[in-house]
Amino acid sequence: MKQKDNTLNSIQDIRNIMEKSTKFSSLSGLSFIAAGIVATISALFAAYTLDSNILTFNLYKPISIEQLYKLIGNGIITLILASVVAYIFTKIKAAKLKHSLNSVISRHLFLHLAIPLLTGGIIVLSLIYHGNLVLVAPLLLISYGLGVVSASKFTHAEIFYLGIIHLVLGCIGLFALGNGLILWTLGFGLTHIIWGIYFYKKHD
Amino acid sequence: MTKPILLLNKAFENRIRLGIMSTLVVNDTMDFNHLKELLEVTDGNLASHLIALEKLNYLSVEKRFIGKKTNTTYRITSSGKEAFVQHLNNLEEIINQTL
Repeated sequence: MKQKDNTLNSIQDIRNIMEKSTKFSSLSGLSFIAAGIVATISALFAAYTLDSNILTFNLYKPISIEQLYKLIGNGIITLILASVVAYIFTKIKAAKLKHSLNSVISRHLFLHLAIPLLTGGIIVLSLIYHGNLVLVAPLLLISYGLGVVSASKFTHAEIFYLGIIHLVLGCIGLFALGNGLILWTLGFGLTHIIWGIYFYKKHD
Repeated sequence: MTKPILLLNKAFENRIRLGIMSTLVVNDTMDFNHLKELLEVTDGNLASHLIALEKLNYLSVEKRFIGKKTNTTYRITSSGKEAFVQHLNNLEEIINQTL
């Protein structure tokens, strides 16, 4: 009987260490929920900037330079705020699990998220520079989706589908031009919140 | 029939060695500091087990300098992988027999 217990313990150890060394498990559902709330508020604010609402917001209409700056500023603040709240909740979970946020795995995760995201960001900057705003929203959804999909193999596998949802919304946006804000609210906002709740129940 | 307990590889009896091998089976390379962090062991303890596994030819070691600091990375050898898989098979057999 003792032999069997030893064997089971060994197998348990092997499993744990394999998982711990290949998966970043400090990701918190609360991070997604918080980022989703930030994104939703930001979408409401963006619509307000253009004197419209999320549903009727349409970038086909010409906008003033001042409005453009407000939108870009809003986007940057949203990105920073969402990253900060997501980081805080993940940091709290890491502390609870006594994991380090600076490990081989977390660096892989970050790198694989960042490469598509930064590339997409540069494409979007070039579009803004050339005055072509209509593809900005779908391309940001797509680059985020690609980043999440490529980072998903370093954390809980379901994240993969979070990426796919953003890719689908982005691809729809490529054709349904001018509906960027509603797609953003559905993706960055609603999907993150729902996903976060599911993730929190399952892993936190 | 030989009891599988007799076949269990003594090299993997220790929890830390088992941890080192498990990590290197699923990661191409691992450096000393990350192994230490992952397995939550002291420098000396980890080093002695790494040396033991290296002597058995289960690991290959690569030393580099990053600035003035040494950076040692470890990689599993094909014989190490073989021995570890055999060890897992034996564990499995023990469980099957005792169930």
